[in-house]
Amino acid sequence: MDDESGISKISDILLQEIDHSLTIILRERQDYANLSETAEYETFKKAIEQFQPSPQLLDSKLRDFLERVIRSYIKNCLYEDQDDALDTRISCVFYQFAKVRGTKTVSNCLPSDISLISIVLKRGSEQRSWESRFFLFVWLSVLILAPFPLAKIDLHLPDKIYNVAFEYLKTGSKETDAASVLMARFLSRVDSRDYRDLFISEYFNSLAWEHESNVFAKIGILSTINRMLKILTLEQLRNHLDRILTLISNEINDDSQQAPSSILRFFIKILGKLSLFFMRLEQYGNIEDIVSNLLKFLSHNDTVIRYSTAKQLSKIGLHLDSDSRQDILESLVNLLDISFMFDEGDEFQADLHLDPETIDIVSFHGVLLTLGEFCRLRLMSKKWITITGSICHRTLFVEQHRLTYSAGSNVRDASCFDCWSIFKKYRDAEIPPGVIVTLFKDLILVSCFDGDLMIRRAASATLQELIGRHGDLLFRQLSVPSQYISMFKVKLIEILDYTALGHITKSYQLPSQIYRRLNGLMHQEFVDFLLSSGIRNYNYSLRKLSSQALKEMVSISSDYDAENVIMKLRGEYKLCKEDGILNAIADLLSLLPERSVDSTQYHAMISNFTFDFHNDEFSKGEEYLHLLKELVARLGFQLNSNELDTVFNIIRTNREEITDEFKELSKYLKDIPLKYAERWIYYVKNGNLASAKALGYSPVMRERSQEVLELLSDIRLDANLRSSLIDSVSIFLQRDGYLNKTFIQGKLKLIEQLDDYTVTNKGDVGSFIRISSIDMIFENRDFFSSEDDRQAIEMRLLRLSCEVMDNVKLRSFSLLRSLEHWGSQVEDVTQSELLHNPQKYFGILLKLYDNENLCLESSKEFWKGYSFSGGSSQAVDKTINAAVYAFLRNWQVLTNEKKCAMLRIIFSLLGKGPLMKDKGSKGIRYNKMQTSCLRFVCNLIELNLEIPPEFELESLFVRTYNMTLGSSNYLRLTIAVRILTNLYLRDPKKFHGCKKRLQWLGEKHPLTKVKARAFEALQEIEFESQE
Amino acid sequence: MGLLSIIRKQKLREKEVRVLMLGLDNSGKTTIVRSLLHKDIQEISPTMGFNIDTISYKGFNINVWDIGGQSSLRTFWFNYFERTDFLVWVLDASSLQRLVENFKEFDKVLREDRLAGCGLLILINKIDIYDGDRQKLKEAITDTLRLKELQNHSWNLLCCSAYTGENLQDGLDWLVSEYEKKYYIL
Ligand SMILES: Nc1nc2c(ncn2[C@@H]2O[C@H](COP(=O)(O)OP(=O)(O)OP(=O)(O)O)[C@@H](O)[C@H]2O)c(=O)[nH]1
Ligand SMILES: [Mg+2]
Repeated sequence: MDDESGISKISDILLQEIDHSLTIILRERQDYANLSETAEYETFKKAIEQFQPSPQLLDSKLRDFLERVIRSYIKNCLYEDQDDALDTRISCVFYQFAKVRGTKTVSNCLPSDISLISIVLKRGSEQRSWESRFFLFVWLSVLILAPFPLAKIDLHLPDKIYNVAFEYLKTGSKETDAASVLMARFLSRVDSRDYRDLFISEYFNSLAWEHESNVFAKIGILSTINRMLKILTLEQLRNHLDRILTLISNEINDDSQQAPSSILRFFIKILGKLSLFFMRLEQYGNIEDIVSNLLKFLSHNDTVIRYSTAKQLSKIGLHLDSDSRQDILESLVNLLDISFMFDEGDEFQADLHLDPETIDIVSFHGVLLTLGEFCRLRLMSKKWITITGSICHRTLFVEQHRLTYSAGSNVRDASCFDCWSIFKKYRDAEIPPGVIVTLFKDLILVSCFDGDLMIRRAASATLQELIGRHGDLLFRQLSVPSQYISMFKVKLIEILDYTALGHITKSYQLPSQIYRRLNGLMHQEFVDFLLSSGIRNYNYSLRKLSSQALKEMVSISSDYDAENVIMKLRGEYKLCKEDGILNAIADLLSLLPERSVDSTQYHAMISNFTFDFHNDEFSKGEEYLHLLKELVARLGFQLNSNELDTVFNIIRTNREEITDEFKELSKYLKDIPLKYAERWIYYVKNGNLASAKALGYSPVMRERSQEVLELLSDIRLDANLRSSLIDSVSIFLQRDGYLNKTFIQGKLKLIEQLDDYTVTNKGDVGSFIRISSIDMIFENRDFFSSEDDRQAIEMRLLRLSCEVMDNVKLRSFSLLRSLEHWGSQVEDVTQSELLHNPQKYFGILLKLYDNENLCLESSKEFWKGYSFSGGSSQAVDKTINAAVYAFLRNWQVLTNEKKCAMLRIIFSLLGKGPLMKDKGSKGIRYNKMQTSCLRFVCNLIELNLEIPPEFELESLFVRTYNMTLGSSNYLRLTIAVRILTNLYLRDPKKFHGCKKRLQWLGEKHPLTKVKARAFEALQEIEFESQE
Repeated sequence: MGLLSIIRKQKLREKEVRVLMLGLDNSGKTTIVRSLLHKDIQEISPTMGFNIDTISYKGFNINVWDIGGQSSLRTFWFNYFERTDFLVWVLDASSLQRLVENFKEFDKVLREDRLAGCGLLILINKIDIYDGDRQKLKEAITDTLRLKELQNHSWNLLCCSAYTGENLQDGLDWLVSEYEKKYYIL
């Protein structure tokens, strides 16, 4: 629809564009140049392709365009043989028109000039591009329509035409279609009688057919026959009809092989046309054969075949008397596996026996499509409208569940089509009111609740017809007072809005809107539907949505009492433990006043519930947890050991939904027996995420805080789990934990979580922990409020704020800003600005650093972080550049004194540290930091960082020199080589030691790669000093 | 091949034309439709909702959506699934003081995406009780509605009367011929 209106808006402009392109491609102007013609053709093609959704919009200009194509071709190509490219290009233009607008339509626009026949034919028979042939054949097919004996032009002309058309009919390439048009038109000529006989007798007999193994040839012949049946007269065809029918019947009934869809489509179309001829000949036996042949195709696997069959059957129905039509309809319904009582057809049958899970979806679809076509053509008696209505009443809800998907949406769609046709084509008095009312209610349910968006929209489009055409009758039937009827119509259409239906969550909320805005319309039907099928839907999310909708519909009015509904569901659950019932009960429980129900019956209800976490769907566990949570929250339900065991069984399923429900439940679980508290911690230790995440809500945390604290520093535990535990600690602190002794004493341990840099094969998983810790501190700022805490935190945040990972650094930065006194130091910028403008971000950090008189330790932390952004191998170029350039810009405003102080601190990071010997992760980390820092410094001095004369730059030489000692870290060594080179070139006298070191590295280093780098550096030095 | 695509595809072949009938309240839309359907035109009350009717004419099924012109309903004018082929805009010749309001609504309506490229038939209804100069009236309305400035729409302006039936047939003829011109010249 959107495509269509899109093209409507611009069609005039596009037509002008095409017009313009044609002047060039067709050489209508003098100033053409070969090159631009090809380019212009592409422009033309783009323009015309846009007409695809609404090709008719071409029509106002089509004749003009095509006449120009012909004129140009005659002028430039027809009598020449020089310019094949031009010939093809003009033919392509024609082909594009034919492709978008249809061969037949386009051919109708061609002028007919009988004198051109021979030359066009001649060219068409020569070796040319297929586009040229396509064009010439179509043109020829128009030329030969002239009522003038062809043989008079040239005795052999008919032969030649027949032969060339025949040749290309069989190629299966793109000109086949044109050849078929040509052949059919040729054979329709009065003087072509012999060729007609030849064509059909020679190729349309079983022997020839079996013999022909080329599918394309068959398709070509069939498409010609199909066209002939359209344009030839009964007299011309009389002698051939039986033969055609026989061949097709034989082919269809040949069980040894099934024709491909491409051929079947033609069989079906041809059969449909044949039947109309037989009707005129009053050969009803043949028609019967055709109908029974067609009926078989209604259960063909290919939708296109079914649809095409439905159309042919209804077309036949249109021309038959009403008794025969009745017969067809009966055989249609007999194809469905339902025991239908035709005698009772006058009565609406509300509960037709039909098992959606076992019916043959394909046949149902085919039959429903055919019924729809019959309705659309107004071929139905009132009785048959009733029958169709009775069927749709069931089929609108058909769904078949397979292992990984569900089938049946085509059946539901076809059912909508049937209803749509009935409501659109029949007047009030022609449809039994009961049918209108029932289908109305069904369609509303489908619009709101069908899982498939296309079906919801189809149902709603159908409702528009129903309400627009039969609304008065409908609402009178529903006892809506007449003064409200108009309002009902408008509101309903408004509510069933195209976009609202597009979102499944919104469409499930429509019933409550209907209730509110339309005086409770359909209230009972909604509740009944949700109770009997919605909440048990096969589809998990529809089940949940239904349950929510049910709760809403029950709560909305006093007609329903939540308790009664729950009681009913409990009874049903006892009989059959369908998925979804517990969830619905849980949702409804939230409507009850607290502690209003005796909880013993619930223990009984769920006493047999078991959960096998290997095999059961997670959703089964989820609804159980959900129910328990509501029971505990609303009724003060006490979980017995059986239930607790089940809970711990369920949470072994690693699903977010389970974790979320368990968290909810944990909020309300007050007294947890020792055994289960231990099990909880045991689960945490074994990596169970749900128990780690929910722990913060539970009293178990209070009792076990010491253990939890220890777990945090247990690096054997998965980082994700530890991060979850920190989240839990955070929640615990927020809820009531500020007085917890363990955590008060263990504060530093909590703060130290900011230093976790665990790396695994999944990358920097420590970042989860750092982020959780930042968040924890943020949420519990009052808890971490002592001077010591503040210092410990600030120091770390300075580092974290300079880190490489965006989500760590920005979070850290906001936390820093939220701390007392820091906020005022920082200019106000938004997160996204910080994210997208890293240079600005680093600038702010540097200003901050400059304004604060940080203690040495904090300063060091800051530069550690900064070094990562300015030089680590993990940082992307954009980050490195931002950090380095921000640094250089800030550098300009510093006093020499400050510059020296800053350099000293940075260089100190390159010196020996306590962690250098550490073989563990901290040591590795420290080494990485040093390499990053070295690279950062290298980047700076290579960008000619201006160094105050009083600064003792030798210290950099010493540090760098030391870092090359005994190192085999290639990355680090190459950086060192760069630094040494740079220093030497700055001042060869002062730094002659650099050259010496380079020489040593070039000669003696054990790694050849390093030698090579050092050697290159020496060459560079050589080169520079010569300059 | 679902219903929604069937709706779209079959329109041409089946000669289904969709017409949206709009205009200010009391201009006579419903009376015109009923008159075309040869139904009783006495005692028609204002349309508070909408109605769909099919007029069969020269082999075409002209599906007319007659929507109430009250301002409360105007938000509702575009809620449907099919494309509109024609907008029929009805004016009341006996209430020309509402011309400006007419233009305001007309202009707003034409901005709708879904009406892009549709044909426009403007009917000046109740001409039976108008005794001024018709030609002048038509010119005035052409100017007020700025019909000459329209792009991408073909349009026609007719004086008619739902009571006498004058020009109603002509209106349908114009629709059908426009439709044929657009789609079936071939
Ligand atoms: N004299 C005269 N009166 C007419 C003509 N057509 C309609 N009316 C009267 O005008 C009044 C309004 O007609 P409706 O058909 O209800 O107008 P409408 O445009 O459908 O109005 P809404 O539904 O409110 O938008 C009625 O009293 C009609 O009888 C006409 O051609 N001539
Ligand atoms: Mg009205």
